[in-house]
Amino acid sequence: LAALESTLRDEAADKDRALVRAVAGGSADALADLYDRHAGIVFGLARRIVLRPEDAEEVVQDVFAQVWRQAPRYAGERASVAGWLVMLTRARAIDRLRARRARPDEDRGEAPSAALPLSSADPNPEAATLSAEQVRQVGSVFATLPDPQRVLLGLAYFEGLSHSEIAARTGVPLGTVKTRIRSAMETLRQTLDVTP
Amino acid sequence: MTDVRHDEFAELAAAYALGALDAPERQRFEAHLVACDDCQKDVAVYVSVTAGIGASAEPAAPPAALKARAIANATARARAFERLPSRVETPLPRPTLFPWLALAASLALCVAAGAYAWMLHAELESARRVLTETSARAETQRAQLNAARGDSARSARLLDVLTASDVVRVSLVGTKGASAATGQAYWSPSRGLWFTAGGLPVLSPGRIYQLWLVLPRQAPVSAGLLAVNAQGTGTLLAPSPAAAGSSRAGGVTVAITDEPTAGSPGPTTPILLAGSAKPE
Repeated sequence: LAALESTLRDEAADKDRALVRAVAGGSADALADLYDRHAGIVFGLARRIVLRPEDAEEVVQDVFAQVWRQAPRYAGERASVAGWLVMLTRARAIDRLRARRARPDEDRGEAPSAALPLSSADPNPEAATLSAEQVRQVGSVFATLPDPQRVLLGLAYFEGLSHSEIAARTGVPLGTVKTRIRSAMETLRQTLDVTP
Repeated sequence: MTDVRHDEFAELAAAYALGALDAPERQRFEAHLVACDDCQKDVAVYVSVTAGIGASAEPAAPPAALKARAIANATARARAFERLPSRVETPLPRPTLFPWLALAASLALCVAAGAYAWMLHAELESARRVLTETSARAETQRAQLNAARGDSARSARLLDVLTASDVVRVSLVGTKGASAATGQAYWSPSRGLWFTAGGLPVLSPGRIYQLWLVLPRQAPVSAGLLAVNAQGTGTLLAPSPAAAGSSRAGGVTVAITDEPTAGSPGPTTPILLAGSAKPE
């Protein structure tokens, strides 16, 4: 059964890569297929980061616009498209979160200024080097990290906070914040060492 | 690796990949990163690991109407713009872009450069409007936002250059006019240019360092202007100049000269710092 699941996952990953190649060739249908396959995780992660559903919808649009633009650069033989999408989603969502923190007026319903284009960090397609299976494994190890590590790493990843901002937010000493986040990242990295 | 300083930096790789380093630490790490292959590999692995954290988020179905909007919005954009930089990043204040704009316009460059000039023009127009219309408070917020966004964007762009498949590293040494100077350049024709130099003489007012890429059988191509601090240190992270083309196979020489603050179309003074990468 495990072998069958693994085969199905490989086929899904192959299909994703074929879709990205078709998107690179200019196929809007292929982009729509990719959307159908991944919009759930993109929207879920975006909402986890920006919290407001309307902002999360904007992030989804940003991400698929970027997939359309960057697909010609995607050359992953083994890397998962899902991993790339997750990285794009986080970058776009953190951009939006920081923009909102810098513009508290927006919470009172003012339209964002056109002079503030929300484009910045562009994780390039080659940066996503993990297979879909590895991405899934790292995710499940993250979920089982000890609470003190998971919470602090979560503040860095999902809220885009720096070490000192996390220390200020939580009251945990700065040195402890650094050590716990480093240990947590090291644990996640070791997941890859045992993955073929 | 027994180098104590390297070990100290290696501990920062995970936090850097996560974007969690505070600015001073991040800057120190980046200065080390450009010259350390081990740290570059570590950062690349940790960056990919972060994807797993995101994958732990609970998926959620977006509103049904979003799909049509997202696809229409994405495919409406001309892909030709992708290769053009979304923003010019130099350590210079914005007004110095004007001479370049005028120059770009007057030279009647190719379509791509024309589109880029148009984008720059639109950006400047938009910036001018904001300056006249917004309050001082809005200005403060804009600065905060730009600082935050600039930090994350800069780190991502630096990584993008360092991890590019076509990146070439060039070590530069000072000539007679700047014998204490050294520099490192990482040039990826597809991703951009990262340059850092130290030990440069501080220039007189009205002058600035200009970086050049010299390719076989071509006139030197300007790669940007480099402001240095009082210690003679400066860094530049810029898009690869369009005129440099997309290939580094013929080798490249990177050099800097002392030019007027507006920059020059070609070098007008002797080279102060230079280095080459051999043809492949």
